Order: sequence, then structure tokens, then C-alpha cells
Amino acid sequence: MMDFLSSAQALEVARSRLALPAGVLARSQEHLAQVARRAAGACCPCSPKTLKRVISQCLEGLVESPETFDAQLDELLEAMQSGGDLLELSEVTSGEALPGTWLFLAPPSFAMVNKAEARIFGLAAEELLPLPAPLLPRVKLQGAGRVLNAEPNEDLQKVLGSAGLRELSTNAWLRTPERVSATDLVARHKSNLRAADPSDVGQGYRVFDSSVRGIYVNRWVELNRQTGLFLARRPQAYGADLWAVVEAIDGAATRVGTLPRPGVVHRGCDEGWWLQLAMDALAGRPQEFRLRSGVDGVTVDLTFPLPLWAQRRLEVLGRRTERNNSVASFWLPHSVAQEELRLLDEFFWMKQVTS
Amino acid sequence: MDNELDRWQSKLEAHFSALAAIREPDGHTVFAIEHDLTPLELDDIADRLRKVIRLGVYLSKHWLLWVVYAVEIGYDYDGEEYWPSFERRTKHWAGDAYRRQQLRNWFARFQLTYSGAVPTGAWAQQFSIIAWPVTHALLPKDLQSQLARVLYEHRYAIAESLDATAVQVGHLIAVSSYGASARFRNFVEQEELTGRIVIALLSGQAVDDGDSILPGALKRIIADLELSSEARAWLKEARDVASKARVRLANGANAGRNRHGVLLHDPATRVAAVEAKCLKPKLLLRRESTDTWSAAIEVPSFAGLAALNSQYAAFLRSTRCAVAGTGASWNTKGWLLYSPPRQRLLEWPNPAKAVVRFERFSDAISHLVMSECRTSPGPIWLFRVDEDGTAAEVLGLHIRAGCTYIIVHSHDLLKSEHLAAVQLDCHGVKAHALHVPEKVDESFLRLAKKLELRFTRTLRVWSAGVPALRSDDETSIEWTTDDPHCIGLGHDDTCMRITAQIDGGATAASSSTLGRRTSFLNLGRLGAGVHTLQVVAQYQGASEGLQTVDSVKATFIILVRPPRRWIPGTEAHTGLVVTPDPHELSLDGVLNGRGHLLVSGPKGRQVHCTLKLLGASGDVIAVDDLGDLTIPSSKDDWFDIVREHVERETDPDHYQHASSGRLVVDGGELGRAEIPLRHSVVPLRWKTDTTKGLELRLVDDTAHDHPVELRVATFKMPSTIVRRHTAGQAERVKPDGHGGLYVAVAGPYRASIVACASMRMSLNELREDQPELDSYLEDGESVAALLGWIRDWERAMLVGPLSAQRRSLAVKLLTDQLFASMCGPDWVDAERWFKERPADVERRELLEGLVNHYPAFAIGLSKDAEQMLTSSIEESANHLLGHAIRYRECGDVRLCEAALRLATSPGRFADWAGAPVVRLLNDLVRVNSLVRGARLLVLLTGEGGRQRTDGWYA
Repeated sequence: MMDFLSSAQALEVARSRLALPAGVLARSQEHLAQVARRAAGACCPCSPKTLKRVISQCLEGLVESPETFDAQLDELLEAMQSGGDLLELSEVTSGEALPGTWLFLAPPSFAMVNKAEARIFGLAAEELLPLPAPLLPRVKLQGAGRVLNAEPNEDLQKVLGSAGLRELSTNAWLRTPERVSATDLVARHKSNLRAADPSDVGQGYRVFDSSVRGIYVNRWVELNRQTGLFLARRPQAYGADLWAVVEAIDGAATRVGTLPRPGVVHRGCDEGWWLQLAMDALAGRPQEFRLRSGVDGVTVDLTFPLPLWAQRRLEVLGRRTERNNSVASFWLPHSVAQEELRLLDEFFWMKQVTS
Repeated sequence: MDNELDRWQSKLEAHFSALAAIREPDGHTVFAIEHDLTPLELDDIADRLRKVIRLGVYLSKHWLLWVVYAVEIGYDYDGEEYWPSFERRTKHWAGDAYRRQQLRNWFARFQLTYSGAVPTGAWAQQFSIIAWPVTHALLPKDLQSQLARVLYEHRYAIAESLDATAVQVGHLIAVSSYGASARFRNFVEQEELTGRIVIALLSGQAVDDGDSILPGALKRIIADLELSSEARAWLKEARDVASKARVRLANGANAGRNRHGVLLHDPATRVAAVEAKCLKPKLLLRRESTDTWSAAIEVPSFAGLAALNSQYAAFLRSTRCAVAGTGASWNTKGWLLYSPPRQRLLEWPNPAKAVVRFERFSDAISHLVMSECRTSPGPIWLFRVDEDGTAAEVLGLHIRAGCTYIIVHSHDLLKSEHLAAVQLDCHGVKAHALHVPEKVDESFLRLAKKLELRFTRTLRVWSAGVPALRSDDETSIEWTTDDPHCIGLGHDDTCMRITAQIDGGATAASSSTLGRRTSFLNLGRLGAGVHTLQVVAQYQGASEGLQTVDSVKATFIILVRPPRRWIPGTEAHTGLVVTPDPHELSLDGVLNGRGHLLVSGPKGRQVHCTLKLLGASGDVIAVDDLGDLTIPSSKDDWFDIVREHVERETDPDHYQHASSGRLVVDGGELGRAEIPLRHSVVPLRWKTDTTKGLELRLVDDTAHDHPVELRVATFKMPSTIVRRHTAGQAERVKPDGHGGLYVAVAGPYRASIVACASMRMSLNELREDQPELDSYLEDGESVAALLGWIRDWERAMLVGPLSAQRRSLAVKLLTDQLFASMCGPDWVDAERWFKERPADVERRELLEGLVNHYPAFAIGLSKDAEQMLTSSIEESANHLLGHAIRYRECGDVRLCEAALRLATSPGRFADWAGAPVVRLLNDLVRVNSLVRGARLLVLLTGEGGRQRTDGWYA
């Protein structure tokens, strides 16, 4: 029966296909993540811009698209990468040998957080979740992630393995890279920069200026009259922004080192953020985080982004929560909070401030 | 005499007669496993039969009991050794060599008397006796878990076919069992049997009625299968999906009929039509710099087509294909079934030809591919530029205000201020950028008209709420049958009303849309097929270009197809691509350097490789760590890790116990690929035992129609039989001296093994044991025999230290002797000299000078060597023929092919040539310049050439 629908009715028609439980609000992260999973299955490998365009287009007229919608989609794609659904890969040599950075589907997988809880991640091209039918209603959408809890006496690990999902051990999935001092980290980048061709610097950089106060996005400024070593981004006529380390004198770039460095498996932004954290720590103004205590755990409000691997730890060991004047916020149970806060100190030299 | 056996014999005769009477009218066959005996009764019968055979009395009186006895052993068969198990359980059986044939005769009698099942398939032909008890066991224990897994992994496709015939269902299972063990694939060759079992397992009814399989036998299989919790869960899920599909199929029985109940289109035809439409390749452009673009092509997965028809699936899995314009050679078999990666276009595909070309011809598929798997006709192709620097094709040539397009064209365009030339790195076409201003003027509209572009601004469509699988928002949307079929319609706020009609039937009209810019239209539950949606938007005088219009009509094509369900182990669009070469690797091949993996993905990442060894029933018996590879990995990287592994392996014997294997490439978060390693058990084979020093054991599962002859050659004299005798049924050989090659031959079957018995050899001993061969042979028969030796040495299993190195030396010297015989001793000396420094011009010129007395013939070959030797033998033979005709060397394509095959793979030549091998060799000797020319091509193209020509036997 063909008929015209209101936008609310049309949205309702889509809900069942997206397996959205009652109570999940339109334009919530759970809703957008399900739309993004389907879009990614159809489009990947593609750029984040393409994925965002497809998501926006299919929701046109169905949900409000405030000015912050684009930022919300950026946040969503970041969460889907830290959650393991999507992989941002550089210089992929298969097929047409894609230069630059593109989003790929991660294969359907799971990791056991403990014996009774599994995180489900990865995507199949045309199925939101390729699990046997009896398991599907038990999967909980949690932000941009998916969680499955074991039933009494159920060997969940075996059940998911039998269903064909690939298991990643929690240790492997949450592995931290080798710990490095702020001095060594900056030295590595400087050394890399020395090898860069000074005649190939380009123009149009925005740099992260730590001397500027304010929220993260406002501290990105045009390279104007600054001198020193900066984390930089350069918008490209196409594709994603280029991340780089720029050495500048009086606002003129003298050497540029593209991120990620050759042979480094992390994303360019992850390498850049880590470097910035190190530079700020060495400059005596380490990045800060706020801590809010609750009955069962604590909430960490970050004012500066963390590399993907660190976000994943916080997300899996706790959960991502709504931002609170922060670039990202995570709730952590008391049982792991101390250990993870130590990680913020040891790996990122961050300073806790009271909220 | 045992009266109890007489009683059991009579009872079973009555039982099977009654069963046959029920089955015969429907043409259903009877299986010996349907004996309906309890385990205690079976034990009693077995004990009594063993006593009878010990007494040496006449066995045929209780032939039916022997059939049941053999079937019970077949039910426990693990795919490796039927007769050893049988003989272990039945002392005194092996004393009479005739008894195997006797058992076959009893099964034949069962088949004639009770409409018994007949073993079918290639495996049944090879194992002509044990195929009977194994087939009559229905589903032996070792296959039960594997069947449950296939039913689970392909549950959606199987569920859709449950109303098909048993043969069709069996065929679907057969083509879906691609990654299963060799033993399981042998089993599913019996399609009717497999189909009956599957239908019974997935359908509650058949379990009770017994028309197809006796309930007791089926219950026993299910009970054994459910002993494994995994298999139980797989079967349950497959049954649930089948049950839902049955309900849906029953409800949909009237779908596709008009209100008078007349069938409009057969649902299968509609699915076929939409799957064919979905074969259209997708073209993409990508900006490389400000005004430079590259082109790529994405060939859709053919999985939907394969699911329609098992013959399509079998064809796609068994043939290689190439994509036009990519410059790439043949893609591996089955490549089209798993979301092929995008490929760069070096040359624009000819729209009059199919984009995909198959190595083999299939009338049905070639027709479909020719009609649907083509680019748009051209001569211009329109691409809308996205902000991420990619441009997707707009099939309907519609343009919109404010958008930028790239126009790709095969002939020159008229000059216009609106067109800016851009560089497209793709031969055969040129490209221009076109920006459509927000307000178009007369000159722009004239240009658009001349280019046949359609300017539109008033109506667009998108998949609302759930992204489409594929969408060209100007003309078409692709959905699955599971999707909500709801579209968004974008229009000006001057739009007053919209009416829509689907497939020329149902219509819907909106209420007033004035003041709105979007409307949503639910198309209802569309069945699989190609649908046409016509939309009319009525306006309050909207502008379309420079004209004012009252209404706008638009037609959209909606493709609705069954979803492609995820099959574990297959990854779509992930960043890790693992390609085996050749496509079907074997365990022996991998260990002996006759196959490799190429790993591509994000540059610089590491993947970890392991070798999983599996027992006959698919259980893991060992996991060997191979090491890490860095992406992108080359063939040499692969060989390095395998060689290092083989060298440090302290217990090579454990490979002998594996029935098959899997190469596992683990890329962590990138994914994991498991590549099956084939291992087909053949009726005649060698096994080894090192518990008391090296001992070779011959396993003989042949029907004993031919005596088994054992031939032995040493490393020192690799083409001379130093010992020959007739082997016993369970021949055991202790390699003497330093070992050598042991070849067992029984009629058409042969099995060879290279055994190196000495744990340690001094340099002197090695030197003294070097092969000694005549420099060349003078007649075709001797050369044919030599080719047989090369084959046996090359294909032999390896056991013992230094066996690989010593085999390699033997093969090298035998090959030298071959080419000395065919091309002359000088030629072989020149080859050796050339191989030391292949880049040396002088050495190459010496070879060219020896090819024949016309230097131009050889120089021409040298010049075009890379083009001449391609991955297709037909193509290569024709290239050589063209060259040979030009120089009046040879005009026979058959000889050109033979020369190339001999030059590239002497070890495979004898089997390829068959009986006329001697005649063919004699013909080749008469045009031996052709063989030298072919050999020159092989030497000049080196490793690259070898990789291409490997596919000639794929």
C-alpha cells in the first residue's frame, strides 16, 4: 500500500530496520550510529565526508539538522572508530591502491570485557549485526557501541565464536603503545622533521596554539606570526585535512613533517594529539582533565582529545557519556578509575583539576 | 552354523523389502544405515560375523549382515583409513584379497534388491568400494559438524531453496561448501543424497513421515550431531531461519498475481531480473591534484547471481576473470563472489563490450554479463564532484544548479566558457569540468542541450531513514527486500501536490505540500524486482531552467533485491586483502614452495601468519607459527617465512598426519583471513612412521582391480628403476642406503614419496651421491619416460632431512637432460651461463643466436617476451604462432602450445599430452627451434613469467 507519510511516520518506518529499541531518541548517538553502520556498509571504503553526506542525506527532513549536526557526526565517526566499527587506514595497497586516508569496515568481531560481557564491533556490508536471530534482541546499543551480556550459565565467548565472529582478546584490543617520555616523543618528531625537505612546505596551515586560552576548537588558529614547533592541519581541496608538524619562523613554515610518520600505524590526528600533549607538558602547561565523582564511579571530562587507543580503553572499561564542556567525557567504575587516571598521567602528562 | 545370523538375515531382508516397497513409488532410494537395529543388536551381529570369518566359512549367506556391518564402520569413517579400521575390527578379513570386491558385490546386490542408493561423484569413482559403505552411512560422524556449519553459514540462501528438489538443494550445499574439508566436499558431490538429508534436517515433517529417510536413522544422526554444542546451536539457528522462510514462502504463494489470480511474473524471474541489473559496474573519479583526476571501477559482487543458480555459482568459483581497462591480469577464481575491490582504470572500457571477461566460456553468464555488466553507452559520462574529491557517475545525465561535474568524453567537445579542461589519467577519453551556476543563462542551457545534459532543480529523491545500498539520486535507488521502502522527495516550496504511481499500478497522492520542501512516500513492501516509480509534482509556476512549468514528471528506477548475508570468514570492504596464488593451495604445495600468499592493506602494518593443521574431520591437530609479514608483502616475503619455518621444524612428520590445513593471516583489528589448504585423499597414498626409524607405509584403498607395483629410484640415478616389485596390501618400506624416490603405481593411480633416510651425511657422501645422468636422450620414448620421472619427483611428498634439497637437485638435472635432448647440449650450457647473470646482454645474445639460423626470429621473441607470455595459454600459443608463421618456423598452434607447456612446466607435460606424448615429442624435435624459442621466453620473463604461466594449469 503506497501512501504519503509525515516525517514522524517515516522515521518510525525506519526504526524497525535499524533495530532501534523503544526509547532511543531520534538523532541520539545510538540512532545515528545505526544509520552510519548501514551507510558505511554501502559506501566504504570512503572518506568521512562522504559518509557524513550519506547519513545527512538519508535523514534530510526527518530529524532537525542544527548547525552542530556536522560536529555531532564528526564525534559519532570518532566514537565508531574508537569503538572498533570503522578503521581509518592510510596508504592502503589493495585494489586501486588508495592514497591518503579512508574509512574501512572492520570485520565483525567481539572482545570479552569480562566473562559476562562482550563488546560487539565491526560491520558486515548489508547486515547491521550478523548474529543468530535469538541473540539480536539481547544486544544493547550503548552510544556508538554495542554490548551483549551473557545469560546465566551461558558461555558467551563460545556462542559468539560459533556464530562466526572473530574474537580479539581484550588485552590485544586495549593494548597501549610503548610508554615514552614527553622529551623523547618530541625529539622523535624533531628528528623526523629534520629529514623533511625544506623546499616542500606548502601553505594554508592552521596550528594549535597553546598560548590561546579557551576550548579546543578555538585554539586552532591561522599560522600568522608564530615561531616554534606546532601541531598543524591543512585543509585539502579534497579528502580529509592533512595533519602535520610544522616548524615556523615568524609565521612562515620552514619544515613540515606529515603525520602519521612513515611506519607508524596510528592515525595522523592521534600522533599529533599525543605530540601536542607532550609539548604542552614540556612547556609547563600540561593539558587538563576534570573529574566528577559519583556513587559507582567517576566521570572524566577531557578538554583535549586523546589518541584513539586511549579513548577505546576509557570507552570499553567504562563508557562514553554526554560531553560536559569537554571534547569528550567518559564514565569509569571505581574498580578501574585509578589505573586509567594513572594512564592519563603517565602517557599524556595530563593534570587533574577540580570541576 | 550360527542360526542367530540366519534369523537376523531374514529379519533384515524383510525390513529392507518393506522399506523399498514404500520408497519405490516415489523413486526414493534406501540406505543400509536404515536397518533400525539397536546398538546392542548391532554388537551381537558384529560378534557373530567375526566368529564366522575366523572359521573361514562361506560368507555370502549373510551378505546383508555384512553390508550393515560395513556401513556401521562407514558411519565411523574419519576420511583417512577405511580398510585399516575394518581390518582391525575384523581379524582374518585381510587374508583374502578378493573380499573387497565381494563386499562391493553385496552392496550392488543391496542396490538391486532394495532400490539401494548408488554412490555418485568423482570421489565415488575413485574409491569404488568404500564409497558404498560410506554412502550408505548417510552422514558419517565426521561430517555432521561440518554440515551443521554449512547450514548455519548459508542458512538464508538454503532456507529460500527448501521448496526446490533434493538435487537442487544438494547442489546449493555443494557450491556453498567451498571452504569445507576435502572429505566433506567429496560427500556433497552426492547432491541428491545431500539434499535429502538437508531437507530432512531442516524440516520437521520429513523426520516423522520417513518417506525420505527412516526416522530412526535420522534421529540417530541428529542425536550424534547434537553431541557437539556448537553443531547443535548451528542446526537450531538454521532450522529457525528455514521455518520462518517456509511461513513467508507459503504466505507469498499468491504474490505476483493480479486480482484474478493470474500469475504476473514468476518471483524467481523477478529476482533474476534485479540481480542482473545489479551487475552494472560503478565508475568513479578521484581528484589527484587540483586539475588532475584518476578513474576507478567497482565491479559489483556476483554473489546474488550465484545464489540464483548453483550452476552460475559453480562457474564463478571455477573460472578466472579479468576486468577491462585495469591492465590487471586474471583475477583468482571466485573473485567476483566476494565484493571485489575497486580497481584503477588505465583505459576507459569500451561500452559496447562487457567489463568482465571470463577465462572460460559460459553461455548463460556471458549473455548476462554482456547485457548488464557494461558501462553507460557514452559518448559522454557525467560525474558529480563531491567535497571529498571523488566524483560519482550520474547515470541520467541530470545536472543541478550549484554543483560541479566532470564530463568524460570519447570525442571532442565543443568549446565553451563553461567547460574547463582537466587531465584524466585514463587512456581513450578526455575530461572537462563543468560548474553549474545558481542562475543559468541562455548560453549555459544551449551548452547543456548540445551535450544532452538534463537540467533539473525541482524534484529529487532519496532513501528516507535508512541509507540505500546504492543510489544515483537523480534516477535510481537500490534496496534489499528487508529494507523499509520509503523515499524522501525534495521539491521547491512552491510545489502544491505530488502524485506517484508504482509499476504502472498503485497510485498515491499527497495532501497539499505548499510551503514544504520535503515529502515522504512509503512505497509499501516491494517484492524483489525492478520497479518503476513515476512522480508528478504540480507547481505554482516553478522555473525549470529559464522556463516556467506547472508540473514536473520524473521516473525513478527502484531495484529491490535479496540481501547479501554475511558469511563468516568472508570480509567485505575491509582493509586487509589476502590473495592465495594459485587460488587453490594445497598443504604440500605450501610447504614445498608451490604456492604463496600476497597480503595487501595499509602500508607498513604487520600481520601474523600461522599454519593450522586439521585432522580428517576438521579438528585442529596442530598450530604452527609461521611469523610476521609487513604489508604489502611479496611472494619472496612469503617464501622466506615458510622456508625459515620448515628449516626450524624439528618434527616434520606431523604434517603427514594432517588431512588438510588452513593458513591464517591475522591482522588484528584489520581482520583475519583463513585460506583453506586442499588435501585430497587419493586411493593410493604414502604415510610415514618415524617411531622406529623412518618407515614408509603404503595405504591402498583401490578396488584391487590392478596389482600395485612399487618402483624405486635413487638420488644418484633419479631416472633409473633400481628396484621394482609387486606391493602387498599394507606394504611397509624401510628406505635403504640414502633413500630416494618411491613410486607406487596401480592402474591409473600413482603415489610418490621422496625419502631421505640418512640423518647426517658428510660432504664426501653427498658428493658421491650426486645424480649421474647421460647428457641427453635420443628418442621420443626415452624423453617421455624422463618426463614421467620429472613428474614423479616433482609431485612426491617429502620426508626426512635434506629431502627437499636433494629432490630439487634431481629435478634440476633431469630438466637439464630434457632440454639437452630437445634443444641440444649447447643450449643447456648457454641456459646455465645466462642464469648466472640474466641481465648480461652478451649472455642473452648467445641464447638468441642458438635459437635458430634466423637471428630475427629470436630477437623478435626477446623484444616482445613480456607481451607474448601471458596468463592465458591460448593467448600465448597464438602469440607464438603468429611469430612462428612470420618466420616460417611453424604453422601449427598445437605445437606452439606444446612447446610453451614443455618449456614452462615439464613435470606437467606428460599428463597434459596423454597417450600421444611420444608422437608429440617427436613432432617437437622436428621444430626444436620452436622449443628453444619458448624456452627463451621462459628465461627472459623470469619470475614474472612463471607467475603468469602458473595459471595455465589452474
